[in-house]
Amino acid sequence: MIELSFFIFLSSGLFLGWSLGANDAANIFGTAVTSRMLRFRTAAILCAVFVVLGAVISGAGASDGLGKLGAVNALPGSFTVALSAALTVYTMTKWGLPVSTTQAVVGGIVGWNVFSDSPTDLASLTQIAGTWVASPILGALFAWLIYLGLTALIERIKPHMLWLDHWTRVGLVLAGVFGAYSLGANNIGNVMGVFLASSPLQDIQVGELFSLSAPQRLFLWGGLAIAVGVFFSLPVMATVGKGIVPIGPLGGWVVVVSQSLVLFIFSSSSLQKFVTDLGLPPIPLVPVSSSQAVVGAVCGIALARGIKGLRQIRWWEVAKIAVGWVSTPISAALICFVMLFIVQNVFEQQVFVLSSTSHAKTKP
Amino acid sequence: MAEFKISPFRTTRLVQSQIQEFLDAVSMAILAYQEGMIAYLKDGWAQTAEDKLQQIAAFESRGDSLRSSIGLTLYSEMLLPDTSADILSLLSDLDHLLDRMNGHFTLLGIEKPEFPADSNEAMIDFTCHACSAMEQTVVASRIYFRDPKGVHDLTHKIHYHKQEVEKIAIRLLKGIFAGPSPLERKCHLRDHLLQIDRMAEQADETGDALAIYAVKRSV
Repeated sequence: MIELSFFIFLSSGLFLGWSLGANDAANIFGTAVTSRMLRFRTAAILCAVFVVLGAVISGAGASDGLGKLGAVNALPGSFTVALSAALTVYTMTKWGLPVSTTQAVVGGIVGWNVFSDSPTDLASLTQIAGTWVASPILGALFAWLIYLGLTALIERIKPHMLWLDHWTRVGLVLAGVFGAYSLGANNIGNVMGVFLASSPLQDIQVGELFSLSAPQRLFLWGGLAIAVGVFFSLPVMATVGKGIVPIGPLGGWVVVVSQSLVLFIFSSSSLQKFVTDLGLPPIPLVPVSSSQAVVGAVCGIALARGIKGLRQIRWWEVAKIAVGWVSTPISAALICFVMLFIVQNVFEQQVFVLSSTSHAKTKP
Repeated sequence: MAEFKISPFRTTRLVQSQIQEFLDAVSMAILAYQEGMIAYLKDGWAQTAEDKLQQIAAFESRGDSLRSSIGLTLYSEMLLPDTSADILSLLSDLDHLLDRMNGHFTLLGIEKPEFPADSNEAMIDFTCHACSAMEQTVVASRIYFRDPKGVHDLTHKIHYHKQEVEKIAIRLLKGIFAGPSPLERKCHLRDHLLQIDRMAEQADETGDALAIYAVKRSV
């Protein structure tokens, strides 16, 4: 039987999941809903189901990647890291500053490492920071290629407008489903990754049907939190695509597919194996920011439109992302450090377990 | 149960064929109107003109029912709302052309205006340019559904025919009002000329609107 205290500590991760669902579902189904091609309720149900599936089935890769940065080994510590990431996201959003949950979580883990005297794996940190830069660039590259290919195809076959819209509608649903699955698979690491090392959950067998490993049970909880958040995403959806450059429904489809591909690349273990089998360097499996991949994809479409498109880009919005690469993790690390100190010394909770690599600074 | 707003293939096919049929109706009405006008100018209100009036009325009636059916399906079941509005606006403009042709030819049959014999050739030219402007609008509308960028290649033709209509109308009106006929007859003929001129003008306005719809459809 799982203790109630587990869920109390897990609540900060669940809150982070809820907030992720409320914000990032807009990146996936925003175009379909705002262009009224799909009803919000339908979009939310599809998104919720596939986010949970993605988290449970394919969530391990990106979560393990985050774990290499630092394994938060006490439940109160995990709670504090997730809470400080959530607080960072909340505060920076409130102040209108660019923020990514992924970067906040990474900052939180580094803060925990510093507090617990655990070494931070610089190779992992560099790799993760590299994916922050790579994800918008890859998003732009995918969008540029897909957009050019799609426009060339449409120019060539000249489909009737009714059929083009029909297939756009179908495409938005399929891309949304793929996007939701990829979001669940990739971003579950943000939500539950810090609880992996400290979770008391065990593997279970559900009748004769299937079994769930301990991480999968954790991811299921996180996935459900994201799924609940999805149903609160309507106000955010209304703002999708308006920040950087105007895009139509077909452009929206390109953005969703590009963003989903980026998330998929950084979470698929099978793809990683395939790449290494080819003798290429392995793709790091870590959570990346879906919002930043979207911004990259929108810029990719603008680039494909040529000079006119480039002039339409609001470059300040793009520059904000680069600012966020530095400001978010540093803020989260500082907040996490302070909160760990409070949780340990005021609430007298054990925020880390001494290991061979950490030194005493606690009252275990 | 979540309802998917994905239109079935059948609906898309149905609306596509209805739009095709509507455009065919407008195009054939234009041909009937042109032939009817030429027949009237040559032989007066004879059987040919009467037959053409029946044809135009039938096309107008079919156009009305098709337009309302297309509108209903577009709004309730399919297509981007913005595009639906543009398509319905286009179909509405073309339907107005149908109404105008039907209205004017009906009046022609009732009032039977007597155009001066020496202006017959100019009148035929005038009618043909007005009909060409309308026909080019229909062609541009067909292209809009498959290749929005191609619309731009036709709008200048519509504009050209409309300008020709204006030029000929002024020449004809000057000739009519310089003639010895009584003022009421001159005014009667002017009304009919202006009705035809208005058709060309509306075709031109529809062409301009179509060019904007086409830009909005850019990916």
